[in-house]
Amino acid sequence: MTATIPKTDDDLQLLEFESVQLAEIGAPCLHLTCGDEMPSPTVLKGCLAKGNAVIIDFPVFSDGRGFTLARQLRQSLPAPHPIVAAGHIIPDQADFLHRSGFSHAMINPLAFAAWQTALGMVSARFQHMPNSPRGR
Amino acid sequence: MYVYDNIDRTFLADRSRQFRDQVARRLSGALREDEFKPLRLQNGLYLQLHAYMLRVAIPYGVLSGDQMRGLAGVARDFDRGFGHFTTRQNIQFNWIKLVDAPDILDRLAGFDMHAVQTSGNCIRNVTSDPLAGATPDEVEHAHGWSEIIRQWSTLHPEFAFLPRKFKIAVSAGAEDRAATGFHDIGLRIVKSRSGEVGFRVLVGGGQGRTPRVAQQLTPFLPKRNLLSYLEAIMRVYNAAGRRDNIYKARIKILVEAMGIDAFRDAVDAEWVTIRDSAVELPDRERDRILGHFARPTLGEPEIAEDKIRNQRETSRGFDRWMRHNILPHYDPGYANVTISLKQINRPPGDASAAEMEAIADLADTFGQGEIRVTYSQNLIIPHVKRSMLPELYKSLSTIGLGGGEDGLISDMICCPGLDYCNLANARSLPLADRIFEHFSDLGMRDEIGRLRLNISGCINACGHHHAADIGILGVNKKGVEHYQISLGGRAGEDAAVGSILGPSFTEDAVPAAIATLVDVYLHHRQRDENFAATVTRLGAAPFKRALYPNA
Repeated sequence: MTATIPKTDDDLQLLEFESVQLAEIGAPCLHLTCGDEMPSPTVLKGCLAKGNAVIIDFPVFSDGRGFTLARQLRQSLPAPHPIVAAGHIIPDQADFLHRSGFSHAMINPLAFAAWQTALGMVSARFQHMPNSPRGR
Repeated sequence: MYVYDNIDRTFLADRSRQFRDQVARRLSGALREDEFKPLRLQNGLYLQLHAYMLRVAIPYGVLSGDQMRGLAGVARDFDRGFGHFTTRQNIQFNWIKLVDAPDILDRLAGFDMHAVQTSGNCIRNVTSDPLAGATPDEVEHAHGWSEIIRQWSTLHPEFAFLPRKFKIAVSAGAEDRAATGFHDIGLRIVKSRSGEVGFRVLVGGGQGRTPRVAQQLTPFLPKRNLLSYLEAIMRVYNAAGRRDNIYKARIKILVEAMGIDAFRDAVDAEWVTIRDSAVELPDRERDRILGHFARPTLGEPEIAEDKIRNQRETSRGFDRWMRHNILPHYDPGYANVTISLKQINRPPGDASAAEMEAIADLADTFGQGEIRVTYSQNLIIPHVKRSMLPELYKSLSTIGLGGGEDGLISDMICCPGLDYCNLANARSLPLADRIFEHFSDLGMRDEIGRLRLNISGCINACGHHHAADIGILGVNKKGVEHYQISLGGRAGEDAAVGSILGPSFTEDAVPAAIATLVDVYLHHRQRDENFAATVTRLGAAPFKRALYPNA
């Protein structure tokens, strides 16, 4: 993982959920948007071999299809393979994004503190999810 | 009933802190209104016509006496002294200030209650049979499985931003008292021929402007696969449900567009990837939760029937109450008691703080300290010794709650209507009062017998007019409130959507129109036939002819 995701005009950066730090990852192999079909197994195999990130773009934060897409992808791309949430996402979704299978979020670094707070806000785990086993 | 442990309590404290932070960020401008809206909705906070409304979750309609007293405190300290029990077994407070909301959530958390997911495009509070665990006709206690679903759906990370709201109901009785046929997912606990207990799964029911009765997705789902199967359904809906049109976003529209067979195929394709995986509930956790729903230890019943018979002979009120407000219990020495929240000048489902406190005390004294909220907006005290029924009736009468009837024409389900709601086209509460007045004669109500009359102030159908023997829908005709009347709807086992009889009526004309329909029934009914059975036998034609003689 040498190349980084190119910085955008908005100077967005990547937040890694697991370590709660700004991070760099390999260049993306796939750029999906909420509502896209699951990529073919061949395409996913290619991504897996190269270790390249899959980006899922949220046109609007309330478009929940991205959560299901991430979860389906995570069944084929086991951790720590990067799956990045991008587009219109808000800190209040941090824990939901992480637990649905996203490893990273593309955020405005000025909002880093809000994301950090949001990630530690609710500890309950009533479901078994890709990045978090059930709490009980 | 389920008792919270440290994990549940920590969750509520976290959640309350989180919402306080969100309100602060909204007030400071860090959160935009469009971003704040789904967050406040997922904490039960609506902006209504005059004020904020807070909808508090009563999981599957079960409250302890202490929780009921706590809710009374909220009504008194943050509202105008009333709470409103809803058809989804929740309670709403209609006069809330946004700045008070975090304090109210803290207060609720103090007695193990919350408003999580009572609104918004997420999995809502699960509803169930108000008689579960206390009735002779059930396969097993439906509330244990309701609690399992409640926990699973709470902050489910994948399903917090669905195309639209999502409602699940669980029923285990021979009689479906949870309207499972009108839910996005209806679960009926059934026993297979071999004696195994599992779920019959229905999908795609709902009311609103496109009323649909749920269709069968599978006749038998083994218990151990409940969570993976629910996740598979939710996944198909989350991915494929429409997001371009709010009126076509419910799962009923998706199921209809795909067809039930194609929908089932899609669910099965998801299901095979997670079935019997870590997604399923571990046995230990299942046993922990179900362990909270063991039958209570009931004392030996006392000889009661002579006492009851004597009392019925001397008190007409008690006699009617015994006929209309007592539901059978699995132990013949016990009963389940309906407290009707339907009276003239009382919005159906409303209770004052003082009444809530009194009812909590009665549940402690005469029952097992537990109160149930029903789909029809009444309350039930389960597990009452029959020998204590005369005393309970006396106590209820003292606080003005000894009257009212379960299931008669007076037992209307009714939405708040234009008096409170910013979606409504017409008022529904004043109409309910006028119908009450028209049918104020108790003998007449008894003569008519079981008849479900429901009123909705608009096509969103919160008053469940589609699922009523007689349904009334408020419409706006050139700025004047009118009411459309439909016939033949039913919740329950053989759920059906009522059909509209004809042109709408003005408010003044509605009570007489209802009386006309009732007269047709009384004229044509055969021995012991209730209103619904007569309508089924005759069809709508004779009712139509009587209602529109010149058509």
